[in-house]
Parts: sequence; C-alpha cells; structure tokens
Amino acid sequence: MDWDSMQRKLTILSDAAKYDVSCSSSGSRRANTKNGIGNAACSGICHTWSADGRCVSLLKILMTNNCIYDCAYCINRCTHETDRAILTPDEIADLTVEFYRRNYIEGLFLSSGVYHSPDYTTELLIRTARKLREEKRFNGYIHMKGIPGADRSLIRELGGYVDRMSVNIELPSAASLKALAPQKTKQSILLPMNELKNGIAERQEERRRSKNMPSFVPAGQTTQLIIGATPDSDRTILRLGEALYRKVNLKRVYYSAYVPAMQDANLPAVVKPPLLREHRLYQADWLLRFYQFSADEILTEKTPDFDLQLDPKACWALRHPEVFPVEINRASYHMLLRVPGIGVTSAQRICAARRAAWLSYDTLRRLGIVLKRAKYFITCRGKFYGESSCPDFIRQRLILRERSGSYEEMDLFSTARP
Amino acid sequence: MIYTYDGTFFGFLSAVFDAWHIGLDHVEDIKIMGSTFLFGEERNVYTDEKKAQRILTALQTKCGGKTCHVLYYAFLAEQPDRGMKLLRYIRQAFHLKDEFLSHLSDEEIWEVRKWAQKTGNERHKLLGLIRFQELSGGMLYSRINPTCCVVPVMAPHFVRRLPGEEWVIHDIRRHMGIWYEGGVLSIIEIPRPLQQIDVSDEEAAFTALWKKYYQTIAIGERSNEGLRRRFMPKKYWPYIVEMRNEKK
Repeated sequence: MDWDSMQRKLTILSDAAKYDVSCSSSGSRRANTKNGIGNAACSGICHTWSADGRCVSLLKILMTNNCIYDCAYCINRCTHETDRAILTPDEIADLTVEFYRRNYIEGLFLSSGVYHSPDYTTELLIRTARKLREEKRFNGYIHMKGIPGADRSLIRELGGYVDRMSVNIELPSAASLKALAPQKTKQSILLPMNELKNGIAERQEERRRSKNMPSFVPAGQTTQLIIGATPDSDRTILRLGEALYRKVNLKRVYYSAYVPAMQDANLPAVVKPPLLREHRLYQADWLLRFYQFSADEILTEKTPDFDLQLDPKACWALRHPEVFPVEINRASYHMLLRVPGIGVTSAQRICAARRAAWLSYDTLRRLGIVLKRAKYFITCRGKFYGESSCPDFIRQRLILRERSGSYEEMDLFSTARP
Repeated sequence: MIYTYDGTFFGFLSAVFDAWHIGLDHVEDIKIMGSTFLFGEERNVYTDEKKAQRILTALQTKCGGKTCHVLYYAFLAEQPDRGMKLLRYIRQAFHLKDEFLSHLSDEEIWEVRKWAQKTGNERHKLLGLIRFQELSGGMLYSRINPTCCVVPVMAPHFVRRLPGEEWVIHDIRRHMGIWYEGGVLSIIEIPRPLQQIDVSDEEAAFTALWKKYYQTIAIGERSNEGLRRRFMPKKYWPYIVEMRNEKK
C-alpha cells in the first residue's frame, strides 16, 4: 500500500464525510460465516468518541468527493474549490478489514459524491460491497448510501450486500430543496426510499416462509435532515419525521444542526450551529418512537417551535395539568411514560415492581426515577410530594433545575441561543 | 465461621454450598483465601465444580437464567463486601423463586443488581474500546486495565468475531488474560507484562492512518470535551491508541 497517498486520500474523504451524522451500527444480527471475519452486534457498539463528543462506530468515508451536483449547503459541491480524491473498491475493502481486525471499528459507512452519474456511482458502491462480502468474507456492519436518481435494480442489488442503507433528504420541504439543491427533486429522493421499503417488506415476508433466504438491508433504512439552513419550523420537521416513521418504516431520522461550512446567497448567515434546537428535535424524536407521543401533541399549531428552555416532554405535561398528578401504584404504562422524569426503563420497572409490592416514595428513587422532575406530576400512596401543582411554579422549578444541572453543553447552548 | 475460597466464581459457589449444608446461621463471612482474621473460626473450601453446578442449575430452574447472570456479573464487579451480600441474594432467590425477578424494592438485592449492571456496562464499553496490535508473528494483542473483572465475559464476543485469528486480551492489573488460537480459548496467567512489544511492519502505518482519521472526523465547530470524557473516561485513555499523546 502507498501509505502517503492513502493518508492524503483518507484525510480528504473522511473530512468530507464528517457532516453525515449517522454512525450507528445497531439493528443487524448478521452472523459470521465459515472462515469469515466479523459479525454484527444487534445493540451496536461504539468504538471511540471524537473531540466533539460524537460516537465513532464505523469507518465513515466518502468513496469520492467528486460530485456533479451543486447543492448550496454541501462542502463537496462541484463549484467549490477543494482537494478531490477517489478510493478504489480494493483500497476501501483492505482498509476496512485491517481496521476491523484491530477493533478500531464496527464496520464501514460508505457514502459518495455523485461521480459521472448516479448509476455509475452505485455500481462502484456495489463492487466495493461485493468485494468485502465475497472476497474478504467480511460479515461486519456495512452501511451505504442510496444515491438519488440511481436505477431501482441497482438499489436492490446493493441492498442484498449491506446491513443498512440511507437516502438523505437533507432539506425538510420541497421549497427549500428547490432553493438550495436545484438538481435534486423530492421525487428522486423518495423513489429509492420506497424501493428500499418494498424490498425490505418483501424479503421479510419471504424469510417468514424460508429461513434460508439471504437478508436484505436487515438494519433498515435511515435519513438525515439539516436543521437551521432553511426557514422551516420545528413542527414541519417533526411532522415530516413522523410521516417517515409511519409511511416509509424508517429506523431512524437523524437531525443535523447546520454547520456553516459554505457561503451562498440562499443560505442564512449562521454564526454557530443551532445545537440546542437539534437536541430538542432528538428529544421529540424519542418521544415519537418510544413514548407513544404523536407530533401534533408535541408541537401544536399555536406553538410550532420548541421551547428552548424546557424539554418537549415537560412542556407537554405543563400544557396538560388536567391529567396530573397520576398515582404511581395505579397509573397505566402509557400514562407513566408521559410523566417527566420517568423513562421507558423506569416505567417498565415500576410496572414489574408494583406486582410484588405497594411502592413507596423511597423505592421510586431506587428504581431510577428522576424525582426532582417527577415529584410535581405524581402521587405515591396518595401523597403528593411536589410543593405546588401550579404550572407556572413547576415551570420555574424545572428551568432552574435544567440550568443548574451538571450539563456541560449548557454553556455551549446558551451562547448558541438566538 | 468464616468461609474462605480461592477467588474464583466456582470457588465462591462451593463455599456457599458448604455453608448451606453446615448451617447458614453460623456464617460470619465468605472471603478470599490469604486474608488473616483475628477472630473467628476459619474454614477453607476447595473449589468443586460439581457443588457449584448444583447451585447454578437449581437457581436457573427455580428463578430463571437472568438470576444466574446477575449473580455472576455482580461477583465480577469485585466489591469488597460481596461475600455476604451475594449469599443473601442467593437465599432470597431460593425463597421467592419465580417471583424473585419482579422483587425490586428490596434494597440489598437492588445493590447486587447495580453491581451486575456495573460489570455489564464496563464490558459493553470495552468491547468497543479495546485495541489490538498486530505482533510480528501475526498475533493480535490487546492490553486493558478494567475496574471490574470483565475479560472472561468479553472473550465469547471476540471468538465469534475473529475465529480465524490468534489473539490475546491482557488484563494488566489482575495479571491474567484470554488467549485464543485455532478454536481453543484459554485463561492464562501473565505474571510479568512484556516490556517491549515486537509489532509487525505494517502496524505503525495503520495506527497512523487511524489516528489521522480520528482527528479529521471531529467537527471543530461542535467541539465538546466534557461530552467526550463522559463517554470515554480518562482511565481508559492509556490503552486506546488514538488517545495516547492526546492533550489534557
């Protein structure tokens, strides 16, 4: 291997890939094969954390940062002057396996600029995936990008080799797409997504009948939305996320605070990435996926944007004083999930523990419930432990808590606040 | 009566087995051999796999596999007063049988579960954080210094993952390790750590590539040192190749 040229290419291509948020390696149970190397861990495994606190689980690189498109927000746009590089399928496969053996990574996340044409780029991705799976007998995690505009049969072929695929929507509305990425259309993005959705559903059906069918994108598909590069409201973004979960069966929607890497007349003059807004969106996303909330409950027409001072679950609870306080020993699982300070794990623990005993306030603390938040919304054995159930009073207290908490990001966030 | 055992999990279970048959009322403590006691009668228990298996089988059939799992992981957390607390855990389990798992309000049992959680968390974290170096003979070698004794429970993960390689995971504080070669896994003692490690020709180049990758992937505008340290505590840094020579 030519180490100097490799070092140069890796630097260019990892630098160009770093704005893609997704790095998870979960959701696949791919087992190792005979004489093979690697497997996938269903829970996902983080291998290191970079200086910005984000987990690094996969070798996240672009195959090439050459691109025929000219999207305003993207550092790889064709009109931007920057160093360009391309890695061959052999180089990518070798690097992945050698990093994997040393336990640096959980697998590969290969994305790419659009090189010559969407079909040509996808063919190169397929060649890389085939080399890894068939020649190297590599069974670790592989996540690859679906290139908008690629032929359906190519998308299907790629899906047969990888664990996860993602097609990034990036811009949350058709108008934003037109302004910032004029060569892409809503249709060209949704087409590969639907193709993947159908492929996954068909294969699941086939596997129900025969266990020997090969897998097709077993860890599902994901997408990414950029936050803060366009004037779209939080409600628009969250409702889009909800629709993607319901209609296209996405595993995850990632939200990425827009980092002003490029300058363009159509882009806002952001000084700092809106990290707190991104954080609130993730909180709301969790409420959608694990807490049985709907987007319309979290953000109403009257309040289309997040309250930056308080998390969305607490905001919902304060808007609905009529349902609180709830009695811990009697409330349904669904209601327990809606109490600020009670998460999925602690709600399950409460349900399990109260089968054996009538729960006391001290037990709750041990079960992992955050009482400093929950105490305003619950009664335990009929007794209320918060001083008052007036929403304004609770709001003051909760905000005080969030500020004085040991959150080191708070400093960062408070300067990012508009 | 103070029961002493050799420090292994099966040794501990043998001691529990003996204590159970002689009479639990007389048990003052269950400790590792080698400590000296001023007061009390001492009884050395020799590790007997059959005794240990009988307890484990009974525990599994009566209370479920998760109870055994928690017991083993809690033992590996190596808490100073684990002997009596784990004995009490076993007694409670046999007493409550299949109700035991939902019995979450007992404080001492909760503590044992916390220990198990601690071991489980550290195991999971280290599955990602350990780094292998390729030695000149082709063997992959990794050294770590974990708080809990997690090396034995980490091994099966790497057996599934790297079945065609020869590798060693070395716990430098406990002077032991796991050695895998040709389908055989063995626990070995490593009395003295190697001073000089003879790495393969390509090792330095791949390390350099990985370090370069690690530095480039961070987004400068989002730098968040506190968050990184919360996920990746500094106690592990000396054993992680990309964190060596890192500032602060």
